[in-house]
Amino acid sequence: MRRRSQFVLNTVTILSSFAGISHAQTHPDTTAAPPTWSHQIAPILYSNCTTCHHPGGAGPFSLLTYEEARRWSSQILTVTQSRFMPPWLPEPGYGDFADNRRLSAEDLANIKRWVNAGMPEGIRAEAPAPPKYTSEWQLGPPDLVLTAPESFTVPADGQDLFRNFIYPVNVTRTRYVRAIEILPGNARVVHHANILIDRTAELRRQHPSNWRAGIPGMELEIGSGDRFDPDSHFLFWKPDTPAVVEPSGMPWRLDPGNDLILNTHLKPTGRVETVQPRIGLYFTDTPPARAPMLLQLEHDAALNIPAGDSHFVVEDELRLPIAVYALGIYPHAHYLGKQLEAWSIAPDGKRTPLVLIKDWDIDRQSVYTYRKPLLLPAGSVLHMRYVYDNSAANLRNPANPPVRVRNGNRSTDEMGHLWLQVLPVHVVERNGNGAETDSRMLLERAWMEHRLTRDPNDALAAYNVASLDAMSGNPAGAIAIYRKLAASAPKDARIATSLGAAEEQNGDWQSALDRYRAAISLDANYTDARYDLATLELRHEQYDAAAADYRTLLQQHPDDAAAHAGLGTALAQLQQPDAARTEFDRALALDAAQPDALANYASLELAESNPQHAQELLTKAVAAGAHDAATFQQLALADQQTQHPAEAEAALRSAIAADPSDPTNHSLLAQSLAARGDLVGAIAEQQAALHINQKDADGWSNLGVLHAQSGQPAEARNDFEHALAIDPQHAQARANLQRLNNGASKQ
Amino acid sequence: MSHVAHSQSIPACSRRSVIALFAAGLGSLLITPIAIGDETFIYGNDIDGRDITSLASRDTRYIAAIFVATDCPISNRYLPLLAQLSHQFAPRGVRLWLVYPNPGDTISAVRAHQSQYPAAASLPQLIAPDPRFLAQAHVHVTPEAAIFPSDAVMTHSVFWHGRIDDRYLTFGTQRPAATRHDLADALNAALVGRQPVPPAAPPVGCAIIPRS
Repeated sequence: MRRRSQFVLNTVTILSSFAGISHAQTHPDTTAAPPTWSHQIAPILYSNCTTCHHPGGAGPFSLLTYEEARRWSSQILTVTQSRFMPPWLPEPGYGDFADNRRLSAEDLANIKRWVNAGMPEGIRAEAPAPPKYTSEWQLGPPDLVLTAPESFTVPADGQDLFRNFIYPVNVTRTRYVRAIEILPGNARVVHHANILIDRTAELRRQHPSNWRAGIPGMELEIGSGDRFDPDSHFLFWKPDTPAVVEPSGMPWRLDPGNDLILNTHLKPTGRVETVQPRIGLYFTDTPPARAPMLLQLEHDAALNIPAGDSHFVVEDELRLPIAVYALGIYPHAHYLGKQLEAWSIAPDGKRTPLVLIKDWDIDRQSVYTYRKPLLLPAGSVLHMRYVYDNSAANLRNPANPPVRVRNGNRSTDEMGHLWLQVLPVHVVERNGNGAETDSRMLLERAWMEHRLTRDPNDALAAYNVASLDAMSGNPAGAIAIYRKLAASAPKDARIATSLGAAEEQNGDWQSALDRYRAAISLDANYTDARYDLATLELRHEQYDAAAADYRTLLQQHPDDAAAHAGLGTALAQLQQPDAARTEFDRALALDAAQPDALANYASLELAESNPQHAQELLTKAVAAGAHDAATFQQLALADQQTQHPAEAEAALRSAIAADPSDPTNHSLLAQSLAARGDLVGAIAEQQAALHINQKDADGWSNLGVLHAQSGQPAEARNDFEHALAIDPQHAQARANLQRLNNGASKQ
Repeated sequence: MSHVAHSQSIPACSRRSVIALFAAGLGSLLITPIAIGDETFIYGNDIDGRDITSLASRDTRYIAAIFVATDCPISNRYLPLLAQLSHQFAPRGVRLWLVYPNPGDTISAVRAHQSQYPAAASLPQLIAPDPRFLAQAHVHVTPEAAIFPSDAVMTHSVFWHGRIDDRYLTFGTQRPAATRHDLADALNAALVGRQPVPPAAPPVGCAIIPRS
């Protein structure tokens, strides 16, 4: 009722303005001259409205010129006073968001006074220049343009539609995406869109015959692939923000074989429309320096709203195990959502509001990015509280009369999700064993364990906890969970494969072999099983079998860089260096930083006496983040063989830093130092090696030589005797001692 | 909002020759044009620029004038429904017109629009309506409907006027589908001789722009 009377008031205002009754005549306040289009109104429209309201834009009409602003003045007045426009749902004071589109009280007052004064133009020449819009790409030509394989026809009439366009991504190597743009093809039909990264082309494979036409559906659930790769970015598009630009250092990864899915909300316009959206991708060569993660609060199981209930509350909370920065938030419900709120309570009790929306409207949903990242200390508890209205009074209620509504992905089902994009304050954390962990795994574990406390039968959460166990060095824990899951889902190739991988990690590789084979017999196209089988065979020196399995996999997925690298490794072991090189080259063309390809190719080149190429490969491996001792050791070898002793020493020092417990690197460094006459340094390194491994007879013998060379025969004699005490048969030590004694007797 | 009945005094205009037929495809013969005094009232133009002196054809019992605008998205979204209603009620003697009141909706603008919205092209169109007809209809936004008995468009106050249905409640408040079909209900009532119920809420749409 209240809404209705408001509307009538607005209508009356409009009519009086048309009748030429100026505001000033009915109210005596004539102190201020009425606002004019050229001075007050055009700047408001240009900074708040014309991003959509320009010719060819998503808005139904243009507001670039005075004539246009005048033509639509009554609508402008109505929709700004009601705050329907510009679209902006969050209440002020609950989160400080970038791109806040809420009009100020002053802007609202100016619009009202302008309309009441009869929409005066003012002096046209004094108006600001109208912004320029392009119907093409805002950020310039993209690095890659993806076009929906087929157009989709939206009927003239009827309810809103949700359509998922599938875009196979034809990148030939891993790329990092710093920005996206979407050209909907028909700006007035595509209401908003979300991009999903389908790492394994799962949706396309589920619809082999009809994927080109797109798949209907409001929400989707797809797998995330074979490594810890949590959703990390909001790829949410709406007409007023055509370009989604990621913060510096936070691009997202796109691999060969990935699909992008454009999940669109389409609105009929009164005529038959066709849409064929294009996605523009902008790449950067710099891999991400910071890895954010999307956390989700929800309680879908509690979403069971009786017909007629106008105040149904769904809540969830999640304790953060580590400190994070909140970067952005995406509240989401369907048509029954009424009030959506989220906040965080720090351990000291301090409350941080995250968002509050009092009149939820899915048609105006958005991702909201905090102007400044919000620091949420470790131990903070995130809260979500959504209120739903399933009464007939909710005008957006899809059912009339209302019916009981549960959670689900259709628009007539309901949903209550809150996504928070967070960045761990410390990128890595040390676990109990002192090993480094991607901090996001701690967040993922907290999230999944929370889901399991609520619902112990939550299979997805259990699967993810098992995967986290496996990744954090607890394969036994993972095996126990996977076995339970496999028992209730015996035909699930993914679970069988994961169980196999955990068994392999736990040392039971024969059982793992059987699991992988069983998974392949369940789903011959399941890439992970075939890859894990081939890699297991490779590790256990079954090179022919490994090569055959990699080849089968590559027939299905010719762009799988890791499989090319594996095949190359198998072929190198089968003494087919040229064939191996071809595979390594393919792998690196697809993914210049493919770690197995770089490392194993380098080993092959070192064995084949091509130290120069090995050095190049290893340098790339280090640049790509391979900072393990083995890589530095190989690099040192390559440096040495290419006559770069200083670089070799640096590489050895890096190897020592990477793994101080390995005496070999100290010994190698000692040899290198000795070779260029730094006997003091050499002796120190050799001693360091022997400090780690005192039972190394060779090491003592070598130390003796160094001492002898530096004119310390007593120390040298000691060293040789030490070597012989460990190994009385040590011929070299005996001969050295003999030579030392001979020398002494000659003096 | 209540509406005060307007007392109309129609100024004299010159007698015009009556065009015998509407645009091809509509097919019905015109009945005698309504004359006020001895003057023929011209409602506006058809898509070919010819004067329209009657909104009724032979068997018409009620005129449903739907005020629309080529550039109004809500109005456009209703066009398929309007075509459907026209089809549904034509056999019962309802003649449904699309009326384009805005000064910008010239014949060429309407032609361009109907090439994009075939639903609009399927209905008779009245362009540049006489302001007195607009006043008689008591409409203020597009889309908004006005129902007249076929023989008394300009001589009696509008029989019923208002929103087409309750899909839009305000700008920004939109039902997934209408729950009250005000125009259809009003026509059904009129056709069985009952007085239609006024709509429960005002129409939502784009304000009609006055012709200066």
